[in-house]
Amino acid sequence: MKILKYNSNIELFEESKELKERVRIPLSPIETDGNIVYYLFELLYPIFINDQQNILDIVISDNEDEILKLILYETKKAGVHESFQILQKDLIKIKNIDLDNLNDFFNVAQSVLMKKNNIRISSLRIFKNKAIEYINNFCKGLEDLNFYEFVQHFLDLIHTIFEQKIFYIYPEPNIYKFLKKLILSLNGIKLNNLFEFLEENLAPFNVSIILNSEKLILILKIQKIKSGSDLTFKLYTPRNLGINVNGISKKRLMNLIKIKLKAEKVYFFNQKHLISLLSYIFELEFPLKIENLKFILQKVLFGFRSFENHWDMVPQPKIYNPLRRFLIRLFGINLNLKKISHWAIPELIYSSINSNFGLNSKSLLILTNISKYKNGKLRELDSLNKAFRNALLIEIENSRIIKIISIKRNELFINGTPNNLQTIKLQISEKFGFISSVIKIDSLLINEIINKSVSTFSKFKPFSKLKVIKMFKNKNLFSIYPEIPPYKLMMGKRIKSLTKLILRVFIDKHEF
Amino acid sequence: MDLIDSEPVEVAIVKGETPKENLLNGIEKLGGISKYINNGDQVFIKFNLTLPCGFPTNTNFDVIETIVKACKKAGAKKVYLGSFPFKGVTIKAISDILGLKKYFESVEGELAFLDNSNYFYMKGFDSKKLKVIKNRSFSKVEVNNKTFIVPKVILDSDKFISVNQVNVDPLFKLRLSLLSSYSIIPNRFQEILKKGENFQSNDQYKQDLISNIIDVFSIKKPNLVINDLFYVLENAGPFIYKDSNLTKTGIMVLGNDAVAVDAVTSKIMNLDIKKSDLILKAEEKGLGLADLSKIKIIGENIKNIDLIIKKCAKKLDEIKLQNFSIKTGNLCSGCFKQAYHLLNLMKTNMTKDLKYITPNNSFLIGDDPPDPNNISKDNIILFGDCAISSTRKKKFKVIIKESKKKRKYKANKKLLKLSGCPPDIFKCIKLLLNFYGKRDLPMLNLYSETVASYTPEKITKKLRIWEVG
Ligand code: SF4
Repeated sequence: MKILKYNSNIELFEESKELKERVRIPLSPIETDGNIVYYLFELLYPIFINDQQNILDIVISDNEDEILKLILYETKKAGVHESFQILQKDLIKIKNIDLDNLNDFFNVAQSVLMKKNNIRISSLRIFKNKAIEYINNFCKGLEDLNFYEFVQHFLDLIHTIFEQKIFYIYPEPNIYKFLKKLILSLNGIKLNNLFEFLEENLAPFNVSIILNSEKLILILKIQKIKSGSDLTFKLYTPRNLGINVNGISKKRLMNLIKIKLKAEKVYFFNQKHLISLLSYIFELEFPLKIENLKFILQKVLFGFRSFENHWDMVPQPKIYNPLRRFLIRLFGINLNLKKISHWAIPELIYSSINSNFGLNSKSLLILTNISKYKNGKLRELDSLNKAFRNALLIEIENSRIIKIISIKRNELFINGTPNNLQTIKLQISEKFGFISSVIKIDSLLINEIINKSVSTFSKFKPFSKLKVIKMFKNKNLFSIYPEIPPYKLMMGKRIKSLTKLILRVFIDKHEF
Repeated sequence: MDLIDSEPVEVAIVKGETPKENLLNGIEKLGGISKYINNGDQVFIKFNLTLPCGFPTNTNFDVIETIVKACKKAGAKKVYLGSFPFKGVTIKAISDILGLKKYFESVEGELAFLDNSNYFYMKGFDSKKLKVIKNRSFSKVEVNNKTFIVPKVILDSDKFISVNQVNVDPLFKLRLSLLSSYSIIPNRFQEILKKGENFQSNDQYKQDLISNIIDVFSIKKPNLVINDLFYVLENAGPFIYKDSNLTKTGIMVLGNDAVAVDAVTSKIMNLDIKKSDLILKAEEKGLGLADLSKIKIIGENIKNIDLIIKKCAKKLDEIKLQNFSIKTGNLCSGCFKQAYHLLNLMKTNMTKDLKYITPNNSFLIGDDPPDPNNISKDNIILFGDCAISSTRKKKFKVIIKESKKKRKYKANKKLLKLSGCPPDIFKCIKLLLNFYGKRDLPMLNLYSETVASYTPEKITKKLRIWEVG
């Protein structure tokens, strides 16, 4: 309600630029300035949901035979909800709503509203009663949730809504199609579990992210204080922090924010680049093509190599310092991330997957966590059985990920016998057909990979980065059965010569 | 006497949701597995086992599992599975990388190490011992005045089944069961040796190859033949290359006569049987039926199936390599096939290298190929003995340096000779790396090291000794 009121007064704000009302971002506990919320909706809604005006919300009974509520939102601009009116629920007379094909129903609703209210709608949102119940439940006590709990609950809500097919939107925006197909292809694996997994593997951090645009600069502060689930998130504008951005340089702005928000690191991105990446992701077709993942990786790596052009960071990553790079080059290691081969790396990964796993394959991914046992020193067989956390069966057909199935512990460890990857492969093959490979990876290694590439990225410790490769060679942390040729190569080579071999592909030439 | 000689020629075309379902349905349509397998039979299943790569380079293992289980159910005493892989690669290496030995055991089959490579890793196995083992496990078979050595396990098996994954092929358009049958003999015996004056101009390579394939096929005709085209690798194949695409047809063709099964498969895949030398020659030799009107076709109606599959490049310059121009003279099928694989391999595993390599590279192949684009600037690769010998007196072989006083003639160092009739692919890769330098070909270097991880010199040396012995 508060945001609707705010939106309707926005012209006032545009003139005076002084309206500082605090509002909550809808469906979240995040309280921020009204103008930020207004800006986000004005910017993102037309890109990701619908770029036309006026929306009709419809609440229907769970068995789809009755309209329970009709709400008309008038929007002067797409995404900026200003006012709403509750319409008579029997305004649209239709026997049955075909939820799989809303075109006819939309035309009927459109003509009724044109006739009765002289309003042309551009979009329909249909909620089954159950969806409203879930949303209301979700909103209860929302303000008291911390950010981690909020994301968990929110992802759970999204998952439930799509899984139970209780929310529809017409015309279907790409983000809706994306979520619908993603959740379907995850086959019961919950989004919040994936988030939990990712969050658990992130070491504590304290960063600020500047999202730059000509219209409104946004500043995010994200912090994880200690391992576990305490994640905080705050959203600001430079004005909130008392920073006048007129004529200020990028570096100065980053340094000011570093001080004001007491952040360890400050990243600088352009909003348009992030939006373009997200748009590309939401346009992905399902089943997901490995080739499309290759293009996403290309885009991300291209961004990575465009340091100081497309993105920036303080303190400046020492790895970009030419002198230091020159010094390690003397040891034969070429580590210039500005020359990272953004297309050769995905190309190599893609052709390696195709050649080693095939264009059709079933691979079993086992996630373990040995960190709780004797500093990670466990016998290989034991580590698998005791440290088992999750297992996913990934099925690829014609280079598309067509199925991801979660495999339970008792399917892998029959009668509790300590199985090795070979027997697991045979067991699972019996049930699901020929399994090309079983890959076991431990949280310690995932943790290390994420933290080496994200958290400790700015530090200049080239040899600590080689530790990741060393960890790949530790069978308690990573193993694969059968041993595919790239793995055989990795195991048979010394770390330094392996690094040299790989870096020549990963880093482009002509650098100083 | 083969079982099928007295049987009517029957071919089933089946279409279904999964390859496994197709196979069971097809066997049922042909009268059930017990029509082919008797109680106590020793069965040998020939499948595609070419490289340690994923599907569809090799046969679909779900299909193999289904056929092994069906044989066992019909009372087969023993089911062996095997084939000879790509030159230079051992069965043991593929088995280790794909986990085949244990997998086949789990479905009650047994992987036959036809190349005895399971002994190569044992200590103390010298060339003498290898020779003894080889002699014990092979028989010499004479066909049309040619001697082939064939694994005894195949000759001694009561029943022979061929399970072939259909993919596109550069020489025969499709890898059908007749072609696939050739890999029941070791690689060295598969090679076509240059004979006579007009070897290249008559395309003697292909004629000899076809004749050898037919001869080898006649040694042990399969009792049951399965062409699995449920998925087909098209555009570039039969191995997975950058330009390859997997297409799903949902179809399988099977029957008791390989020639008939290949003829029916060709027909539904839009190939003119009259142009298929292999099928025609096999029919001519009385090894099977290719006349569709005489074959009893059951299952799907052949007239209703018309599969359009993108075939392999017909000309080498259709395989576009960045910064390379391909100059083709008169070449025979031998060089065409090897160059096709080498160029596709380069395109797949050298994407970065090709981008940064010097822009002037000419790949000359065949007898009397056209000159490179720029004689003084180009790196020139001469592929095959014909290209090397026919360009002996060409201008680009020498570089002329003129000074005020005299002219100096120097051998062109930007010239790489890939000798052989036709050249060997793995050798070509090594020579390319030496010529351009590993630093300039980091991706090919990585590929070569990866290949070396499963073809270690110690083992390939034993394979070479074994092949000669
Ligand atoms: S060198 Fe090549 S083209 Fe010449 S005869 Fe031999 S295989 Fe044929």
